[in-house]
Amino acid sequence: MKRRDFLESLAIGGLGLLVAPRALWAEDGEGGSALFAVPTNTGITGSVVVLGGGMAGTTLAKYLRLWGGTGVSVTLVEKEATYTSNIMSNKVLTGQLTLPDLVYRYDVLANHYGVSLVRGEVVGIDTGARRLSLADGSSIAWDRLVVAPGLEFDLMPGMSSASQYDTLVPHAWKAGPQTQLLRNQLLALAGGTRTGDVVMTIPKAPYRCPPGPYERACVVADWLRRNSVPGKLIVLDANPDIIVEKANFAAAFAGGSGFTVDYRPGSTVTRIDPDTRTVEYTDATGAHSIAAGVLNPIPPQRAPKLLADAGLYDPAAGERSAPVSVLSYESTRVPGVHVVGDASSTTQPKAGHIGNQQGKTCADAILRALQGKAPDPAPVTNSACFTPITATTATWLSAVYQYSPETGKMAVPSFHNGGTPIAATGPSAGNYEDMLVWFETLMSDTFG
Amino acid sequence: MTKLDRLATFATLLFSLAAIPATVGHATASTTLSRSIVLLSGDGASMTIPSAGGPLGLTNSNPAAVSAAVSGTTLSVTALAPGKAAIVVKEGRKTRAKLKVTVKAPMTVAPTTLAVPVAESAQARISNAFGPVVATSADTAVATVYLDGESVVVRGRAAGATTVTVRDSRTTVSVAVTVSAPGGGSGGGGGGTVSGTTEGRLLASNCFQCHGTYGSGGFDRISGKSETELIEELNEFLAGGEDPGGIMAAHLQGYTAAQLQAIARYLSHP
Repeated sequence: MKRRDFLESLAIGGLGLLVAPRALWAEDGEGGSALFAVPTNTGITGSVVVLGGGMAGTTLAKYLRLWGGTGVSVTLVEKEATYTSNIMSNKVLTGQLTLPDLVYRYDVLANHYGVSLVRGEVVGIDTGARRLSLADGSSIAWDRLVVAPGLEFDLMPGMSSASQYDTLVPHAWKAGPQTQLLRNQLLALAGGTRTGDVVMTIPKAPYRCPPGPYERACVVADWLRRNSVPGKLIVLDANPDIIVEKANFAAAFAGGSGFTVDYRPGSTVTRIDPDTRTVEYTDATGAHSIAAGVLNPIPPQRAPKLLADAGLYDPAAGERSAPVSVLSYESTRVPGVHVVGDASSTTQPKAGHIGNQQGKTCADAILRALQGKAPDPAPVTNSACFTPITATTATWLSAVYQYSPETGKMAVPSFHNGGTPIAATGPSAGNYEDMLVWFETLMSDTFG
Repeated sequence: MTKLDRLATFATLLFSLAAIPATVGHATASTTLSRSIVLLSGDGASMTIPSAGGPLGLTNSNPAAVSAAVSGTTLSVTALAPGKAAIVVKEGRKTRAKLKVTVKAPMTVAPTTLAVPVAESAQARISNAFGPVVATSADTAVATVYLDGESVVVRGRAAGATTVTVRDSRTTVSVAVTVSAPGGGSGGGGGGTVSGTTEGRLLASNCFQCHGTYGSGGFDRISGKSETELIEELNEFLAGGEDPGGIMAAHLQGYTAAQLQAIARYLSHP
């Protein structure tokens, strides 16, 4: 049976509530990539400490060794034993995947590429003494530091503790136990032990993964419909409109893929009550309140406080992430410290695919610096983002970013669709298949 | 590295009926029951025959494949060996039931040992699958697996050994997989090699998220082709001759012609 036939049979057979079929893996493009040896003859020597093993930090550590060779020692400091992919984690909410399916290990990084792993939580960055302090009291000295810690989440107004995200109103914007909690709450809605609508809130941009909240709205609404779960999906978007792939998401919200989403743009959340799952918000028409069956607030996000404490960004000046030179991702505040991925402040989206490319760009710049050379004067990064719309269809968004010497920023060039990203013409099963190849290969280029 | 395909791989092979043991049907005395079932050797099934109370007799077209007996109003069949049998139950001259039985052999997978280099694939053939088939790799760091029609495709990830398990609704078959270093080397670190040139490398690394590190896989392997061939392929996408409206054509718009040339030059000898 061909994969396309299988996907169609999935669509016809419908998705079981508790035993939803999993996506079939790709067969056309086989996906993934090969392992390559760490060279011994580059002549480059140096040592780099990387804080954080997500998409950007892991890619950076791998490519420092792959391009820099055995003379470049790389230490990766990470508080978790494994990484759980945010990409695809909305499919855990619909039961098409489980969290263990999204777990990636650091084995290849350590055993094949020779990156030294330190498991520990960094509690201080001393930029004067150039030392990291760890929660267990130990410290790590660095010659050159790359910070790639991801993001922290604000408390929504009305919340008293971040633990309320873990127990009552999961944001699930970092894949992990909150993802499972949100899944369980949706199942409770399906099983009748909860009643009401599903309410998602979207913060003002920039936040991690621009299409992500709209994707989540689609796949959850699709799941509600396929399983005849009572209640609708309401999206309270703080932004004045859908911020990315508007045509595709607007069509899906309006029923183009079989489900509908009650999308309410320009909605500013003023208070949530985690216990009663009540959300209060204002829009152009006034103040409103909804008591939700499941409340999924996606909070505003910022670089960890640790970075502010180290002077890498200034919250007092309204900054929420760390300014960097996009030639090297070196901090504009603290020389010798680089920031890559979601914690850096650039004009590029905060997302794994582009975080991977930022890691490569930073690795290349550091290796040049170790040889006394300037960074590549014309770096290019790219974002390719596949987005499931239903259990069997997906769309995509493509953007290439070129360095502009005039502004010192990365920008989609005018020759790329007039300076704007390009979206798929609509959701399709073919895009869904491509999405699986893309995901496997991206993760393989990062962790493999 | 591919966690998804560990669990994300199963294909469904549908048969007309697969109830074991099965009560195949009821009907009233005025009807003739007609059913088809599929059984594995050793399986049994039974059905209640509609009758007016008279004695029932049966004919069996293939006693080597299926044994059949009627007791009271219950017809019992046992699958003996692969083959087909038609069982007809009569009450006097009236036909009360027709049962077509197909006896299948258990699922087999051949071969049950596979050797595959890192980043390459090997296949084993599945025969006689019964119900949904699931294939899993015991160690997805060593090898991953997916189903392609009636083949199970194993892809080497890192040197080592693991077991791939292929399961249908009745039978489990293990395939021993040995993954060798790329290019059939004898291990010892392994890994592909590249020239190490840095000209165009960072720019071309934009391709690696979808085409694998150094262009080694993903949607298409793109390294090692000639510069001319790569440029021809890129131009084909740009001209709409290949996957028009697709993401590759969209993506390529973001690069200058000089950048695409530099990428092709690098990928021809990474």
